[in-house]
Amino acid sequence: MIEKNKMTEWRSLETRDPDAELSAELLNEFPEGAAEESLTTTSRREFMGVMGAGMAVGAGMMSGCVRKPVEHIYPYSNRPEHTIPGRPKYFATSIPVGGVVSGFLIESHDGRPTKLEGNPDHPTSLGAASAQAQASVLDLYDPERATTPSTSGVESTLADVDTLLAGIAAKAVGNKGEGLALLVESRPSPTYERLLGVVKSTYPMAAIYRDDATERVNARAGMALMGLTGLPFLHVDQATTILAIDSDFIGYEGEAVVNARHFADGRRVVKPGDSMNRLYVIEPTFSITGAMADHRQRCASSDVGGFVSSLVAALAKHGVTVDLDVAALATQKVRDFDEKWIADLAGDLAGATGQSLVVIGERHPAVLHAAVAVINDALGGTGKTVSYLAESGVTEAGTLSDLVSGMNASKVDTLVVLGGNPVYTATGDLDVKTAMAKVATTIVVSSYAKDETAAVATWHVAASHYLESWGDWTASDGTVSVQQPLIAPIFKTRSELEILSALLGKSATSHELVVETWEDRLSGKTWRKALHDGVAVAAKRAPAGTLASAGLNKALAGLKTPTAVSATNLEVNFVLDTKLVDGRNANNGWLQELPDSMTKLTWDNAALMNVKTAGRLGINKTPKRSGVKTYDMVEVSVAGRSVKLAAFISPGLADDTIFLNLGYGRTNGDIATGAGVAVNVLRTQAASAFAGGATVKTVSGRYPLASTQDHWFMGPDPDESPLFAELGERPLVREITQDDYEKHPDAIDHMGVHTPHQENLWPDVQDYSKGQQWGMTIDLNSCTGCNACAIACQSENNISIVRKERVLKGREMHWIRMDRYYRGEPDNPTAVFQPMACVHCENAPCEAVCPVGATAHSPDGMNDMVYNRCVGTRYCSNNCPYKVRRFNYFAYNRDETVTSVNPFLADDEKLSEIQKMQKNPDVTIRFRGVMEKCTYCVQRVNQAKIEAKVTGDGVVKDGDIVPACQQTCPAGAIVFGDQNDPTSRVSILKKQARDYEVLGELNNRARTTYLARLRNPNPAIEKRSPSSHGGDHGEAVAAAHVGDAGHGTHAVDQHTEEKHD
Amino acid sequence: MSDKPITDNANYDPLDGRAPLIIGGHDFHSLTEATSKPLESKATTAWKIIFSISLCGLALYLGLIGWLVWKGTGVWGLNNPVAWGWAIINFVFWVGIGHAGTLISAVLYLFRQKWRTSINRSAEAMTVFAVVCALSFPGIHVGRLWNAYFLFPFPNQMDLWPNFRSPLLWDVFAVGIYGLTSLLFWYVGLIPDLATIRDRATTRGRQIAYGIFSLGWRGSFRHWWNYEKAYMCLAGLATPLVLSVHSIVSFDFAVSNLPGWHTTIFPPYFVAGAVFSGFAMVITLMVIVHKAFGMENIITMRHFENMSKIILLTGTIVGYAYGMEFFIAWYSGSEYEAFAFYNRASGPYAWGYWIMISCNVLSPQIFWFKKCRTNLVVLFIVSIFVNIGMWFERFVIVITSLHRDFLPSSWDYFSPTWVDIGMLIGSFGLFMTLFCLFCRYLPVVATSEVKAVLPQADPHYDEKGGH
Repeated sequence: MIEKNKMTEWRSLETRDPDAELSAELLNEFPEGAAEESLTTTSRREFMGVMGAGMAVGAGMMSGCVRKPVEHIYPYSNRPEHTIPGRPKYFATSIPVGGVVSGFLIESHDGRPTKLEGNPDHPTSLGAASAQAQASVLDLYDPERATTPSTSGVESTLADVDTLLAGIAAKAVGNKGEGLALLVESRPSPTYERLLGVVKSTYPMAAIYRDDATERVNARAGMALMGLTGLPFLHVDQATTILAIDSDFIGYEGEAVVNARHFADGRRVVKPGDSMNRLYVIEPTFSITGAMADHRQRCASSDVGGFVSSLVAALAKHGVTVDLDVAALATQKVRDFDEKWIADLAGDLAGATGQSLVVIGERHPAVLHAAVAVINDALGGTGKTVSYLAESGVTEAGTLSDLVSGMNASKVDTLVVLGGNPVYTATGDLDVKTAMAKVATTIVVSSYAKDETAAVATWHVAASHYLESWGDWTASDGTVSVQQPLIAPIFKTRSELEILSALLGKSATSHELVVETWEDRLSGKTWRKALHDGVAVAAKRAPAGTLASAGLNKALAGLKTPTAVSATNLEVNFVLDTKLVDGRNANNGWLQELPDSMTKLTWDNAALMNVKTAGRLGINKTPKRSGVKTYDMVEVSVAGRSVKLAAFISPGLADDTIFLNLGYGRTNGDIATGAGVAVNVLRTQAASAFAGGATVKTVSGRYPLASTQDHWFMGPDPDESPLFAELGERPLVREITQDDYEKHPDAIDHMGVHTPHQENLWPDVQDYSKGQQWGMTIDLNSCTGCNACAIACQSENNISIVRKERVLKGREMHWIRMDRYYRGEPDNPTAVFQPMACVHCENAPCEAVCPVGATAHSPDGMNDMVYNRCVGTRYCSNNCPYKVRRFNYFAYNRDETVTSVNPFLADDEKLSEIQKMQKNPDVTIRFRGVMEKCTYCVQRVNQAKIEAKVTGDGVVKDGDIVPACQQTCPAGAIVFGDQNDPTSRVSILKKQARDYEVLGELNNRARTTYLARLRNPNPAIEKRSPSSHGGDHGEAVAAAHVGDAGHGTHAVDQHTEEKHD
Repeated sequence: MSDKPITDNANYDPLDGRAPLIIGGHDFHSLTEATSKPLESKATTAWKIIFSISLCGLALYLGLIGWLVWKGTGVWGLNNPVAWGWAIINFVFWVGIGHAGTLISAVLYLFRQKWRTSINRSAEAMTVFAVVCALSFPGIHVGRLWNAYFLFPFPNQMDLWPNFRSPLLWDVFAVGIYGLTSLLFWYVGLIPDLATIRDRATTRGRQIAYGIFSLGWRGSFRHWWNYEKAYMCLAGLATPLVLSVHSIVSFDFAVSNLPGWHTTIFPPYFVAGAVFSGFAMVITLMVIVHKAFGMENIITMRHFENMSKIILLTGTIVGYAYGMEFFIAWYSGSEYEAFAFYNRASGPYAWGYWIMISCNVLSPQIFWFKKCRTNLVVLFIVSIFVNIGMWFERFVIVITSLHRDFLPSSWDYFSPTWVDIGMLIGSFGLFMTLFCLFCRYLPVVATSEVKAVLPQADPHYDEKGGH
């Protein structure tokens, strides 16, 4: 028996070379004394013998029943340089995400890039990365990515592509490129622009067109009106008074990642009385920037010009002369604003000369961008809070509309689409599909063969992912970084640079092309340093020159007065989705399932509108339930075209405006298909961002929308049930004005429920005052709710997506739930975010109730999950007051090979070989039937502890452990560390008077505590409308919600309560 | 006392002495004949139909368990805040049903309530079968049921014990012991009757089968002596279990910190509720059984009236508990607790709450009237109402407390799936299958005990001028 089982691989010496005594025992099913031996006193070796004997018998019986895939593990014969098994490596790279170039570090396990982190050395990252950037890694492993080139749907080879492109090049050399058209996206890349330049000079007759929803066309055109070639660059850290005009500058627009960091730096109040910046927001939508505002006003998009005109007038009263044709600008004004509010705002801006900043969103026309630049200049901001940086080398290109007319006029015989998906993204008045049909050869380079554009092209070339190819990128501040691949192309793909090179008749690799660009500036050591640091050229861009408003005034003169938005003249706004952008991320499951910051919608877009608008349109305020929540359908029509989609009420939007997110309704893959509705058809070239004159009517049918958080109800309506009015007040998210905090530093503490004496039912598992004890603080004053942490966590911890039908059932798996609470009137609320994950209670309610002890405390104070002990009673989840535990109701990670042979498992989430490559090997893949939750990134904690043990005295230095959420937080709101070390950052933060524990009255002793949010209202505005929030002793955003009849929360002012011992 | 057999013991004039428990002029022989008839005659069509339907239910149940194991716990409607659903509701419901059996057989035995004898056998059988149904749920409810044995304290190579602080573990012991004790108690009580059936058996197969299970009972003095002692001991053991089992089941909720669960009133309230639901189920079953097997003279209106009085009492206790929960929710000053109860009565599941109140508190009030207590139709309808109401009580406790707790951001709504509904129906299939088999193969009335309460069993019967 032993001989037969002789193994070639072995796990321990005992099994490899069993000694004689053990062999005898193994052969004896019931060894002598086995029954008598007390297990607790048996030595491990004896025990193994006894168990081994049983197992040998068992194995014979079981071997026929258990199917396990055959796996082979081979060691390295020669260890590659710098490779330590089990230790990841990090490489710097750079890529534009959502149109913004930033630098990143990519974590690589055994040659597999698994996770993206911000590069701290890169000035537009500062170590942080947005949710979209974090999720971009997943695209590399998308099983639906095109793996080979194809022609008219038939699989082809790269050699054929090379032949095709060589043919085009040969022809173009002959006719100087006549009939050749290139449609490119915005690529601020030196090599890319160099190659485009070469294309232009080699084929002078060839036409280049550019179309990219993320390109800052209006801002650039606005600068052009001012006589500048360049773009504004914000210095939010220099600003103390900021006005954002429909600009999500700390959320998702532009350099939001750094802006958020700089904005948060201006709000890091250490002690009562510390100064804070102040943010005013005026916007039609409710952005997360709006949620951070100290004062927020709503206005329709078409009223923004009128607002700017009012602001200019108000600034003049405060002695700030704005060099603008005010009379011409005033034609924009069709509606009266709260002039007092604007006057106070103007006073505040004027009072902070040189430290004030006005930002306007890209959706607004160039003339307003120019006007804002003039206002900033008048406020002394130029060069201080905003710079205008010169852009150079941007190849001139036509627009998509030019291309379509060219194609329709049969001027194009070969079209190369480098990235982009114009058939889907084009506005409704451009029929790209029909136009493309008139072109003999259309070549689309993209990641998905099922792209709307690729589907109608004659050729599709599978594009390489950015982690598979070389490139270089210029960030908006002028920093240049090299895009360094981490893996050789997995499939038969080509990068855009390689295609451009092939079009020039060469067949250089992307590496050769990038090196060619840089070889005269960087070589050898400097090149390697550039790759290592992730920053090739740190030089700042030159200032774009001085502002000259002559051109602007001319443009102002040509402005027409817009029609006022009203119930009969609805305004439809088209906004880039915060997750999918223009649809480019549509097949990314992490982003599809990520709840939108404000609406909490997943897997869908909807016609967003506020309560008032919905009421007028006859839309039910609350969804109907038939198993899942279903919503009314509406038909939105603009200029004769219409789309049908679900209506969703989102508090805080401007009256009579409808919001439609772009990027949904795509069909390029299994994830994208069925998610939302494409709304580009409603846009026109003239009105691509917003359009008036829309009609909305309800149509029959209902549609399920998977929103992960309810609006409305948090407690009884205080008017309808005065007896129960207090029930909605929950001191979960605490907020106080900066002024009140200075006067009453203990007010935040008093907002909580006071319990005189707290006793434990069970004694503490261990002495928490000893050793290193981990804790976390989350600063609600800086958290913008941008969701970057949620995706970082998903990426680090192998968290599954569960698809819409299971989100509808409430089974989403995100370990971090971005709680969003509203307060105030339903149509004009404020909002607060509170990232909620396991708070690692010392006195954890989950631990006491688990019958098998599968959740237990570690000696360093963390609440651990023991997956292989968990039987899935789900009692822990019931007893968790924060409801942060997530249960694997199904197998969300089932091996594809298993599901393919078993039809009953067909609707399980499959994990293909390529998807497995993304998984972080340091974190267990959870099986069906087990509970999971935030671990404080225990793998990172333990790695740091091991490191500390190996290299030092075993004490982990503060800052050596950075959980994934903290690492990526753009605002730096999350801090983790040893709370027993009085000098650690986390202990210092926990000592602040604004530190509080959510549900502290339950005596859970949570390790994650929150720093209360501070508002910094303008005293002048505050004095006029003190009712906008609670009493003068600060308030709890207790039931920060919108009540059914529009009643917000009320202060739980427990200031008068006596102090307890 | 006339020679005419008494036919109505519910409206018996107390001046004539205590109302007889068995009516219709039964003597020892006729009683044996009456109780043995269902076992010894051919199965009736009605039985065959009911049994077939029950078997279908059982098949559904087993099929759905298979589906659950195959696919995962997600086949139920559970979600993130509502991690326990119908499986736990059904578990508590069935455990509660079991209580009446133990109360009737053990507690009423110790209190010398002789009227228990006509119904105790069926009630005990109901207990055992209800516990079988109940135990099936926690077993299949866990996410990885192939590892459910981790819940038991068994020696293992990791020296790992279950967590003795967890009420779920207490449940394992409490319900396990309860099931075992109930089974033993039921079986011990069956022995003399099994011997009777054995002695009357006409086929070899029956002789052997009943012979084995009657453990060689010959009815000797020594046998009776030991039997009575054992029965007394088991009654003594079972009595505290009546209180402990449902107290411990209630700890699953009461020990947690969830508003709506975390209340000290739960143990007595659960026990009262369990007795309440158990008696309702006994009435439901007895109404059918005594009609189906023509035992109107053995299971008499007096029995039903007594049971309806207990239903009235326990229903009122339960009603008091419902009220007291609201009072404490207000009096505690805890807004979470107060909200939980506000939400019960007026939230999205208010319909469940008001079904519970109507069925459990209002419907039994009809039993203040003797006419209703002695009307089989009313009894049957109210007993069904109480069964429904008690299922909803557990629904209200489990679902409404979980779906909205502390952090409003986590709130959600639970909707059952077809598997949830199918499993509830299927568990009734399991129960009814067992009960049908019981009716066919075991005496539904504890014949030997009933004989002891016949007037003829009185040693002085003849002196009183009987037959």
